[in-house]
Amino acid sequence: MNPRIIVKVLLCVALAVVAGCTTPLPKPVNANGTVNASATVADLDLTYQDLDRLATAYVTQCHAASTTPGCSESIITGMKAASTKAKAALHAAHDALKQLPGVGSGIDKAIADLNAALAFLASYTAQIPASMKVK
Amino acid sequence: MNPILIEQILQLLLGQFLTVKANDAANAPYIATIKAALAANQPIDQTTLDSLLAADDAADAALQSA
Repeated sequence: MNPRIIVKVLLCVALAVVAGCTTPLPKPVNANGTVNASATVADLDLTYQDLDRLATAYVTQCHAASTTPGCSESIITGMKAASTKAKAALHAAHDALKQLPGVGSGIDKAIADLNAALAFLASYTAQIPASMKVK
Repeated sequence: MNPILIEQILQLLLGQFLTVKANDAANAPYIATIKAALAANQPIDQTTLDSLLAADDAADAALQSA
């Protein structure tokens, strides 16, 4: 058999196995439409880790074979900056949690900022070609 | 295609697969805990929160050094 076909089959199998390894988390809303702030932040921690995992896999692939279609240094630079920003928002949210139940903890704003930072990071991971995504 | 390049790509994919599996294994108890807390509107304990934040830092460090 043609070695190229063998490699393509192996790549497809490997990506399919990796893609099927994770289960999406539920939205952070319970039957009452509210949810504990620490559970929300914890859920966003996992979202961040999932996004960073996607981004890291993409950067690793691109740096291993820079001519791979879909690789872009501007996306990589943006991803890294967005990850740094989101990490700072995560730390701010965790700090705000520690101030609870204080009225002025700022947890609502911290969660809103965190959601915005994660959306910014997700805007970069969304640019990763489907064939390069590792979930 | 160059056989060395093929080998490098396969090693890369295997490495990523193992990393993902390791992450899944490390996060598995947290995922269950968080799912339960979300469903019951219960808080997450501080130890778990600290572990998650440490994992966030590790994830960012991996990305920055990639």
